[in-house]
Amino acid sequence: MLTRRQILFGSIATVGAGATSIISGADAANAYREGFAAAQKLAGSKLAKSKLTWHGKHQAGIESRAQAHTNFVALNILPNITADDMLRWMVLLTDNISTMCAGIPALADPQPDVFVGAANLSITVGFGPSLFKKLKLESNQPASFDAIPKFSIDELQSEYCDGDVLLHIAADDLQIMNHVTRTLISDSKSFAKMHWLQNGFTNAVGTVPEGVTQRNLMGQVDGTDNPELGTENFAQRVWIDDGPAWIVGGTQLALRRIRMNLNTWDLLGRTEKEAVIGRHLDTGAPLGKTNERDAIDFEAVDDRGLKVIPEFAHIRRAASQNLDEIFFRRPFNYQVLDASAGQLEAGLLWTAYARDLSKQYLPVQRRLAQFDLLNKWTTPIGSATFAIARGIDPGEIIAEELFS
Amino acid sequence: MRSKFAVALSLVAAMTISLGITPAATAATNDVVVTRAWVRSAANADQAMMMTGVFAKITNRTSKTVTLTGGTTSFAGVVEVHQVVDGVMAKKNGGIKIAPGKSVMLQPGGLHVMLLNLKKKILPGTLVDLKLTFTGTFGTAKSKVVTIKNLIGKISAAGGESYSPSPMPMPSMSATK
Ligand code: HEM
Ligand SMILES: [Cu+2]
Repeated sequence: MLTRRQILFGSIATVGAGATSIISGADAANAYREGFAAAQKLAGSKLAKSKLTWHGKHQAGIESRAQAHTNFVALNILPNITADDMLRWMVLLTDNISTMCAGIPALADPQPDVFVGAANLSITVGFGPSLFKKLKLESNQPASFDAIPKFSIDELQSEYCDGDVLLHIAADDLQIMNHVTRTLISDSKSFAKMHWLQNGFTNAVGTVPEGVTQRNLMGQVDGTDNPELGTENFAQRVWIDDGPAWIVGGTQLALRRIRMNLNTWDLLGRTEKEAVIGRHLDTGAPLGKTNERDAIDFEAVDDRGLKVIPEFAHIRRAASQNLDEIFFRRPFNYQVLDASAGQLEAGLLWTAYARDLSKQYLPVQRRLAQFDLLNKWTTPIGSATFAIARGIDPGEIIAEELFS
Repeated sequence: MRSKFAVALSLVAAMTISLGITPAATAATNDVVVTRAWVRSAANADQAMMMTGVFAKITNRTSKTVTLTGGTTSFAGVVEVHQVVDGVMAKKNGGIKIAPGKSVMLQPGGLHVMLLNLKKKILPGTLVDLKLTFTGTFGTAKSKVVTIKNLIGKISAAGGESYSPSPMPMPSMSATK
């Protein structure tokens, strides 16, 4: 069997491998073109066929690499919607998740031909504090789950805040991701209206090597100091292990829409930018170190006696002060038109996933709101929390125990 | 944890492919396989005494032609086999014939199973039971009942035709002029 590489390089590969036969440049070029075309055809639908596991203890779309494209969608339920109606909605969503994440168009999809594959689709469902209030289900909330308080740094716009139900869709293909979003919204229209939609992105598959930490639009390596996927540490920080059955195996999400003032950020020199975060821009290494994963030395001083990582640096302010203050970040970038300014607006769809946001995330957020030089160039303009239901096995329905 | 619905849902097909699980709905018979089944709901309208359509993919795995002749459900008084011809739907006399090894798609605007005299509302996400009756050669038996446990109520814009009351022209045909 030919490997992709062999096909790609055609007969050139035989020369490289030490074969004695000599081929002309024109032949080689031709073989290369043919080989390339064949390889392209083979590779052409590889992404469409790529799938993430949608079932199990946890919902998909959290303990995995951030896909290239995402929509976070919040919906508010229609008046008079009951728990029973919610359960019917969950039946539809569950069916959609189990089919589309397996690469099959949703039932009754009017445009099934658009759905050419899963492209690592994940669909994650969560519920905001307002839903529990409306349905009088507060006693089934995870412990200490609540809306995020307003901070002095916030300039919140209500069109990016709160929401009864979260549908978080992500995939490595933008067209598929948008088609899936529409399918889910169509099936939701008897139950709820869209409140907001936040579209975000990271790099496409194949643009940067797998496992390389992504960059945000300020140019920083973002996501280094994070619980590692698949570890016991991750499970302890993120997955809820007691409480109402529907949430055991679930988590809590804080979603903050944070605008970046790139126009003023652009004016800073590279050294200043690095000082603001406390890490080097190129490698992502802590200041004074060479590799991204090198341990941070918060005590180190330079020859003038100044802290290598300044007091105002984001990583110093954000670093956990105790073992409780650790959570998982999985941000996406966004860029939209700011019509009032006639400018681009960029930022992060910043996320914190934690067992208990009040213990793990809020203390850090309070500290950053108090003081973090990065605040000069960043402004939270949206804020929402959701309790993410546990994962399901085939045959189960999302959040069934909550609405039964 | 076991769901109180013990739902097979429409992933019947999906699961057999991706998980190697044989769900109850298709385990009942290898002869005629019904997948991707759904029933059209009305958004929030009262469907009592009304009717609606059922859609699915049906595959004949026997070596003789099989015919879908009708069925039963706790949701409707009458179950008929219908077709839409020139935008008008009517009972399909003689049932729906499926050649050996072939599949038919029941879909909006074409062949469908009609639930008449609805007794209960079928809302989006309502799970409906349905038994479909086939005639043909199934070993020694000449007929076969296929049970679909959880047909999902779904809204669909497809087809344009209204499924109540019947028979009727397709409203969308004139609306698009
Ligand atoms: C637009 C806003 C933000 C940007 C651009 C940003 C950027 C960064 C960057 C570049 C790092 C260093 C690399 C890494 O470890 O991931 C970092 C670390 C971190 N950030 Fe942020 N961040 C933002 C907002 C926040 C917020 C709102 C919080 C929490 C409330 C936060 C908490 C953290 C934590 C906990 C770390 C790891 C610190 C450590 O090394 O222990 N960040 N951030
Ligand atoms: Cu009919």
